[in-house]
Amino acid sequence: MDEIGLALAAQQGDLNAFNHLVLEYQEMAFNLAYRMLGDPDVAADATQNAFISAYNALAGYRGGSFKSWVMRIVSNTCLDEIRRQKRRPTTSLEPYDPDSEEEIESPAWIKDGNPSPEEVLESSELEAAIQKCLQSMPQDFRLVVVMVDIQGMDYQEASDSSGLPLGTVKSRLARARRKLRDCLQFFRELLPDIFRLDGEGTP
Amino acid sequence: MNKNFSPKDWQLLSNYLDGQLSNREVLILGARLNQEQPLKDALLELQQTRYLLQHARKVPVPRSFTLTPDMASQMRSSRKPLFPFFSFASVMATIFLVVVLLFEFLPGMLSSAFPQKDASNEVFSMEAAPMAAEALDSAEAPQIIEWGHPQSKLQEGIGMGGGGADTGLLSAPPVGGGIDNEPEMPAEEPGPIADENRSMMKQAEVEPITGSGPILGIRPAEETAAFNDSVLAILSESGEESIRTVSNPFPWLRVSQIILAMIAIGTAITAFILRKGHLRGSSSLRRN
Repeated sequence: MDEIGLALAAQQGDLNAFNHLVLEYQEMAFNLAYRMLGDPDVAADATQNAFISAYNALAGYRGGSFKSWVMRIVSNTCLDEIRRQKRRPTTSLEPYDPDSEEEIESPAWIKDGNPSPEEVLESSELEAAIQKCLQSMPQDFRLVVVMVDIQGMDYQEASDSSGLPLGTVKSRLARARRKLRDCLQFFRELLPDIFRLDGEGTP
Repeated sequence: MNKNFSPKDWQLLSNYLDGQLSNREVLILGARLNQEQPLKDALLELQQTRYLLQHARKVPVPRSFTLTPDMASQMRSSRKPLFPFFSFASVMATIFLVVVLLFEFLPGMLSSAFPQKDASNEVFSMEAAPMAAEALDSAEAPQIIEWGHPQSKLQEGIGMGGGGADTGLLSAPPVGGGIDNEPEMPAEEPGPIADENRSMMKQAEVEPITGSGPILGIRPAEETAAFNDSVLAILSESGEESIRTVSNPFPWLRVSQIILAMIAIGTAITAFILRKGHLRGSSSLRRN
C-alpha cells in the first residue's frame, strides 16, 4: 500500500497503517527534532508528541504528501518546545569538566560506528561544531537549513513542511548558510581533508 | 578579500548551488564569477558549508515511536468534543455582550428611544417641584383678593394671571384686562399635565364658593389644603412616571448583559477545565 493509501486507512482507524507511516518517517522526524532542539531526550519526547498529535489530527489530513504533513507537525512541535523552553528556562544537568570549565558534550556524540578513534574524535567534534552553530542561529533559519541541507528536502518540500512561502524558504536558507559559513570558519582546522574544498579540492 | 556582498548576492549564490536559477541568471552569474574572485571564494565556502551539512551524521532513533493499541484507545477516550463547543460558545457570548454594550452606549439609539413627550413631562415635573412647595406655603396663608385695588396693583395681578393658572395654585381668576392680555402671551404647547391642571382650575372655578368666611372669595383652609394635596399628588405621580421612563429605557438590556456575561465566563471556565484535563491526559499518554 502506498503512502496515501496508508494515510487514508489510518484515517479510518487502522492503527497498523498509521504505525507503518510512523516507522517510515520516525528517523527523519527524530533527526529534525534533534537538530532543532539539540538534546536527544527532548527531541525524542517532541517526536513522540508530534506523532500523537498527528494521530489525533488525522481527520484534518486532506491527501497530498503525508511526509510534508507529518513533518510540518514535527516542526511545529519543535517550535512550540523552543518557545516553552524560552518561557521556562532550565539549568542543564550535564557534567562540567573542572579543568576547562566547559560543558562536556553528551556521550551520545561518541556513539559512532567508525572504526578509527581519530576519525571518531574528528567526527564527534565536527558534529559538535555543526550542532553548536545550528543552535546559535535563529530558529526560523535553523528549521529551513535543517530541512534542506540535512534532511535533503527540496525547496517545495521545505515550504510545505514548514508552512513558509517558497521565497521565504530561499531567502532564509541563503542567510542560514551564510551564518553557518561564518560560524564554521572557526572549526576549519577540525574538518577532515575530504571537506577541504579550497582550490582544486572542489567536489 | 571583500566578502561584503549584498543579501541578494548571497541568495543568488545559494540558489545557484541548488540549481534554482534560470539559464539567463546562470549565465550572468557565471560571467561575474569569472571576473570577481571574492564572489568565487564565497561560492566555494557556501559549497563547503552545504557539503558539511549534507554529510552530517544521521542520529539513530533511540526508540520506536509507534503507537500501541492502548495508547490509541486512551487518546480516543481523552478526546474532548465538548471543548470546541464551549470555547466557541464563550467567544460568541463575548461578542454578543460587546454588541449589547455598544447598543446601550450608542447615543443615536438612545435618543430615538426617548419620545419627546416624556422629555416635556420631565421638564414640567421638575418645574413643578418648587411650585408645589410654594403651594404648601400658600395653603397656610390663603390668598386674599382685595376689591377696589389700585390700578397699579391690578396690572401686576393681571400680568401674573397667566402664570398663576399654570402653577395650579388656588388663585383668583384673572380680573379685568387679564383676558385681553392672554393673546399677547408667548405661545406655549400645552403638555398633558398642563391640560390636566387647566381642567382642574376650570373645575375649581366652576365650583361655587361656599362657606361663611369673613372675606368673600376665600376658600376655607381645609378645602384649599385638600385641593392642593390632590394637585400635588397628580404632579408627583406624573413626575415619577416620567422619571421612571428616563432612568430605565431598556429594562431587558441590563438583564441580557448580565446573562451574556455569565454565559461567557461560565463557558470559558468550562472550556479551560476541559482543556487542562485533555492536556493532562495527553501527557500521561506520553509517559506511558
